[in-house]
Amino acid sequence: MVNVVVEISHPPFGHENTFAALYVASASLSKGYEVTVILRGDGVYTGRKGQDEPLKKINLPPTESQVEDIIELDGRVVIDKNAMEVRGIEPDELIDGIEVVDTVEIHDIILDHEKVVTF
Amino acid sequence: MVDEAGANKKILAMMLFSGPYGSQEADHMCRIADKALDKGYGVQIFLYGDGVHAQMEGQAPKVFFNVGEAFTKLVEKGAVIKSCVRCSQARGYIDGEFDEEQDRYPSSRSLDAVKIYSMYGFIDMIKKGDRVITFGGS
Repeated sequence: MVNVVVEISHPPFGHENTFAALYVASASLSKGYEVTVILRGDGVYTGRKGQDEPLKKINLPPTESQVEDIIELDGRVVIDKNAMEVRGIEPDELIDGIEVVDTVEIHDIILDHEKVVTF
Repeated sequence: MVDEAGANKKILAMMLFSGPYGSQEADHMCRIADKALDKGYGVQIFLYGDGVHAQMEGQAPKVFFNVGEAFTKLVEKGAVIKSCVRCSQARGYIDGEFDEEQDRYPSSRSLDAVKIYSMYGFIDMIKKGDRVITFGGS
């Protein structure tokens, strides 16, 4: 089994990073890899649900549906609790299926994997 | 595959997500790739996002490390360099449909050393890589 971690520390819009990262995660899942997506730093904004037609309004792809697809395909998506708290994001604002974890657990995930792709 | 770098070797897979001269990331990656080849690694590089600009032919920086020349030398030493077709298409590098014979998308503006490929070129590198490292991603 191929295991890959995709680490995101950028917000959903304004940079290509998050879209590109989630694309790597989906493509990896489609090849049968085990995928963990980490949302940390400003990447926690990507965990919020309720995006309002970004493709129509700002010509940017909806990262929310990308995250939903990843969870649907049994990808693991974890979010840094501390980074959420300092930005005022509550657990009930998150896309269903995202796991809230402590920062130390994120460190453990990174240390436990040989293949970490950082965006 | 015969033309893939690093058969029976440990593979170092690297992704470049930033352009060739806006930061030192491409320079840094090329030097590490060169060292890895010297140490006996198979080296596979994937250009993604603005990283695909590093494939442009005719790079001629006056003072900076020439990333295009470095790519050509790395491939001569056995590295494989591929780049993302979707990112390349967006940035104007693609001249036509996938060429089965050449195993790449055609691009008159890109270095011969770099094969423009589907995203799955990178997904395959993740599988093959004993180590996977990212440059310019955050």
